[in-house]
Amino acid sequence: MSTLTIDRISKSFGSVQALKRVSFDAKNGEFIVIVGPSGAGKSTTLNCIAGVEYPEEGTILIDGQDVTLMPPQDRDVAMVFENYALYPQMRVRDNLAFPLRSPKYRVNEEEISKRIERVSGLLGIDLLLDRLPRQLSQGQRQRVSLGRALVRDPKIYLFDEPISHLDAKLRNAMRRELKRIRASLSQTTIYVTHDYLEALSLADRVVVLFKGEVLQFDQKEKIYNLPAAMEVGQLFGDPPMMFFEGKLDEKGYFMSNDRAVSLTNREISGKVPDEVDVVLGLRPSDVSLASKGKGQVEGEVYSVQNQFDHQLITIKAEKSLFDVVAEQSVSLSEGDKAWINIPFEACYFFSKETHKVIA
Amino acid sequence: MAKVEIENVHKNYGAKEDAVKGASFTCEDGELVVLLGPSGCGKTTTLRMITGLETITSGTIKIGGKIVNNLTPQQRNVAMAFETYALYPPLTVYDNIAFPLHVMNLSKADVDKKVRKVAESLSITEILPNYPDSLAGGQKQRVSLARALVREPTVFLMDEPLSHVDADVRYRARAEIKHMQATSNATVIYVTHDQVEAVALADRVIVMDLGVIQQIGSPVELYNKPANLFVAGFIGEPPMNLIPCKLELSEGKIALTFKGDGQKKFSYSVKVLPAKTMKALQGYSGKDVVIGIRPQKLKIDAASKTAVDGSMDARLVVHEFLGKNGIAQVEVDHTMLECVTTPTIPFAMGDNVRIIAPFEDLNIFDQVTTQRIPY
Repeated sequence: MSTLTIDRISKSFGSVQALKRVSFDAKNGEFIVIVGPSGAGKSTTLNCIAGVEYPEEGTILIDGQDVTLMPPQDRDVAMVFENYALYPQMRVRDNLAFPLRSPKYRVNEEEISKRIERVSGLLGIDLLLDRLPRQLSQGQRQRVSLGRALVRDPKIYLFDEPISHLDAKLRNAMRRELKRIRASLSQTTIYVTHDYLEALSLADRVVVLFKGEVLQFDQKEKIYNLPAAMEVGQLFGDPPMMFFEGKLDEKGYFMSNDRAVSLTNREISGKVPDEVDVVLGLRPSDVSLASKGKGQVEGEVYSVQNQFDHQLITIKAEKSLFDVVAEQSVSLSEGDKAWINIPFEACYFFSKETHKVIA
Repeated sequence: MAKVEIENVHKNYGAKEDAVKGASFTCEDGELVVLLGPSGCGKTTTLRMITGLETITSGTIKIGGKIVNNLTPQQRNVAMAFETYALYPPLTVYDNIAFPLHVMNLSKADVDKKVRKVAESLSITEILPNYPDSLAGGQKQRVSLARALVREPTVFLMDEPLSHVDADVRYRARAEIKHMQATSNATVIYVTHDQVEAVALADRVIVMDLGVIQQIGSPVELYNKPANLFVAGFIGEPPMNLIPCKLELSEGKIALTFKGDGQKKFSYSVKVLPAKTMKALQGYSGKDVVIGIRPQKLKIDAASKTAVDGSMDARLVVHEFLGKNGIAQVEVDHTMLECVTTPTIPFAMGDNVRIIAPFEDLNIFDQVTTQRIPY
């Protein structure tokens, strides 16, 4: 049960600045997810919290105590890696008990049994305790590796992409399971991933990291619904947000560079300066097909992809491609004319120069 | 292009079990068929037998109505689409496309006609004088496709061509493949283990497991009416909720009772069900079945005392906010079920709720044969 404060930490590797004044905090028991593309500085941030790396500037506080330069073993944090190194010659039970038998965290055997029972029950591996790692499936090994961190009672759990290497189906199943496990954990947790679904599912608050900078640190609902920058919008959504460059005219209409979109001026005027280069961001799930001759964009169907209970229809208008999520009942094929309805609520405007959201 | 017919094809690598056990299917001229299954299911072996890279143990493969069992890959004139992705950097796009025609001893005018025709169909006429280095990824892909198309192959074979494409641009790469296939009207047989990719691209999907074809159908058919428990569990995200139940047909009612403590059941009034359905299910009364319902179809609602058809009390375990939607995990009689919901729901963790499984959205499987009961 601890708090964590990261205050303007910076870190360079040679000429590459990996972290640029990164700040965020975690309240007692809070689950924070750090999300970003590869190379964003996620793991470096986590390593600084663990004490495996030291920042060049800034401070890290655990429970108000400055631990910036404290060696890892004195910080009382537990880390779970993507790469689950289990001891192959040890049964699951002994793998789980291992951290509790180390000189630093030694507890008595009775307590060890109790904790193994609790954690293995939580992870659904209670029937596998006498097996060797090679007798386990990939997902089961992942659970044991999680369990090895969870048997400890550290101040903070650190997770470094624990399920990223699993294939999509297993990863989704493990994410749903982690969500259940998380409900019975009370420790403060920092979790790193590049998968936005893990971030939205598991987090209380999300840190979006991009090229070593925090683009947004907010409640997960706000991250999705009110992205602070283009990169945040792009990261959160599948298929990702579409971007169109253009200008707003004096009446508040958005005109894209190839004249594919002209939006109604409702509510835009005043909020966004005229004649400024802007980028319009739209999520495929927020736009819809309009009936013939209606909507703001007219185009031709470029491709149709089935997505189980709906379809992803790509429409070519002028030089732009629009992705629209449509009901399964819609019957369109390549080459058909189509019209797209863009509700004003679906529009995000970003500055072309800074990529930050406007108003 | 050509139609491809596979008839009762077997492949044995010397083991007791065949790697492919009597595969039969047809890929029509201009159709995109996807072979889908987990690793080791026999999909790549099947593709390699069509290419001619692998001999067949027994059975017949026809391309364009002609038996090709003993023909070399060249004689079959098939194209492995993305194998030829590497373009020749010192040649222009035009010369890259014309390259395979040089061995055919065609006149210059004929070569020009063929190159311009294929370039037109793939909208790359404008870039014909350019060099490969100046092209974007999607354009390069189209040029490589044009080079494969220009020699008029009988069929395109693709083996996981997108497995190395980043997830965030994969949907656009799929859109390109779909678009190119539709505009060039190519016959394509495509192999993948990724169900999302399979349903996105396919006119029809062939689901394989353990060397056996499990189902052939359109993406919608696989999703709504999976032929057996394997397909039901393999297709769909999150996977279909599968619940072992006991089926009971009695005066005016169908009851599907969970296997746990025997207290929880989905009940339906028989009066609203067609006679055909009743007849099909009659033989299963009193027997064990497995029912399947898609998380997208299972509804979650406020707890209520008044029961409706297919409603059941449940406890909300957790709910995930996932942006455009959400997933609720509910517990019924020690069974965890999943419901796809709106992004947020008005219930808290641990709340009593009720779930509703409409009868028309249920699939019922024979527990012994694992086959879907048709009704």
